[in-house]
Amino acid sequence: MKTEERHKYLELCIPYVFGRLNPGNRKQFEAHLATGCPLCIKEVAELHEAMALMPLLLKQQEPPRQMKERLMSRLSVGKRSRPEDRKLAEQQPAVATAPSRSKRPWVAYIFVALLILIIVVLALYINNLVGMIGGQERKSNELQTELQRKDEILAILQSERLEVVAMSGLEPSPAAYAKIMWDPGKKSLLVQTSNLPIAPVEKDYQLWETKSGRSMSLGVFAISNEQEKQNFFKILNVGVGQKQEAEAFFVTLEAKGGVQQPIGPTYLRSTK
Amino acid sequence: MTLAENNKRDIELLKRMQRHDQEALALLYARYSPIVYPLAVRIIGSTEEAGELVQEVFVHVWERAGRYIGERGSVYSWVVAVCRNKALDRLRARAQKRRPREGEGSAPQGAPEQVTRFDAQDILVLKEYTAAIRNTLKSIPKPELRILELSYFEGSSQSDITRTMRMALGTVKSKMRKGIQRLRQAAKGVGEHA
Repeated sequence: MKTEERHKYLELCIPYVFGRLNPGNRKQFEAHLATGCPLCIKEVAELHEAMALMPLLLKQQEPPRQMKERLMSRLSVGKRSRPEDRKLAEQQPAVATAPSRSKRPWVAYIFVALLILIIVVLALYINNLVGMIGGQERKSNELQTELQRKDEILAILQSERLEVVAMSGLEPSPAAYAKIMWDPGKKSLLVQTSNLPIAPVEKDYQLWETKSGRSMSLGVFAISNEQEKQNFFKILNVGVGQKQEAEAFFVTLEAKGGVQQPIGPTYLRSTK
Repeated sequence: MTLAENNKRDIELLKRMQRHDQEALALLYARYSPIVYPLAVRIIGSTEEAGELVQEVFVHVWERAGRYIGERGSVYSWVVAVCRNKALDRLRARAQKRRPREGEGSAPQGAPEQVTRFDAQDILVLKEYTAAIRNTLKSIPKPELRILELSYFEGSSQSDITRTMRMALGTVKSKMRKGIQRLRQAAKGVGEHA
């Protein structure tokens, strides 16, 4: 050990003897004493001896006689078991249990194996739980979106001045039919379709209105699964008043995202 | 008999305690209880609690007799340190929360009463030693002694002492070191001449 380290520990001797070291430092210092450092051991011993003089400043006084009797009676009661064995069990579990570990190492192995098994099972369970929570969260978000969409649809349907235009299927899908509904005072327009074929991935359906012989886009939508094929709702945002002057409405199948003027086949046309 | 020889006797008593010899504890109690009892009273301030604490001290010594390390001081200094630590622990616990006292012990049973002639001599040696120490300690300047008393009997920290004594921390540290040094000289001096 280096001289300066020894010096550092020597400085701890007085606070140690006075009981002023914090638990961490005391443990460290006691570990140092356990290494057998002769300087520190001598210093601590001398300090203990010196400080043990302090009680001699007080006038000596015998404790009450019954105290000794009680003490001896406590020892008699405790005689049933060896004091050091009892204390070892109470205060030194590591020392007391060490021999049993060495006699039965398989107990330790089983314990470790069980511990690993428990950890693995727990990890799997937690992973599964996290997955479930993620799934539930996604489902909850989807339901929330759906609920919001239905609220918006209801808001349109509950409108006092609801206007409705029916559309019927043309040659590509004669069984298809649709309705468009809107409140003239609001910007949104609700499209409902049935039996419209699922649109190819690179295509979208596009809703048009005709005004003064010109076609104007009102928005695009896609039918992407069987459920939507049966019954599909979508709210399109269009300008207020845009629908009032319309002469007709029709739906074509166009390139993804829609086009400026209708060029694809017409699937639905208004019956108005 | 010198103090070193006295300590050898004490170590012999500890060995007997390891063999569950209660008389050995009774002898050690007869030697040191008149010193540790006033120490406990001084720190705790209650004679009743001090009596209980002295019992705890000797039960501690009984149970840990095999763990005494001679290199770290005499049996006497160990017993005194155990008493001081336990008393200060009680004092701190009391400061945090006043606890109800434990019930009274069981009825007294037959215990060794007589102190042998030999141990009576030992006790006489200790009394002479004590008288010598007290004379020597008189030479310690009062402020140094007061600082040692505050630290030893009341468990005061150095910063507590600066407030009590109205001294700078550096002065407290310096006087404490000097006081300890004088105590060490006293311990050596008396030890050599006893």
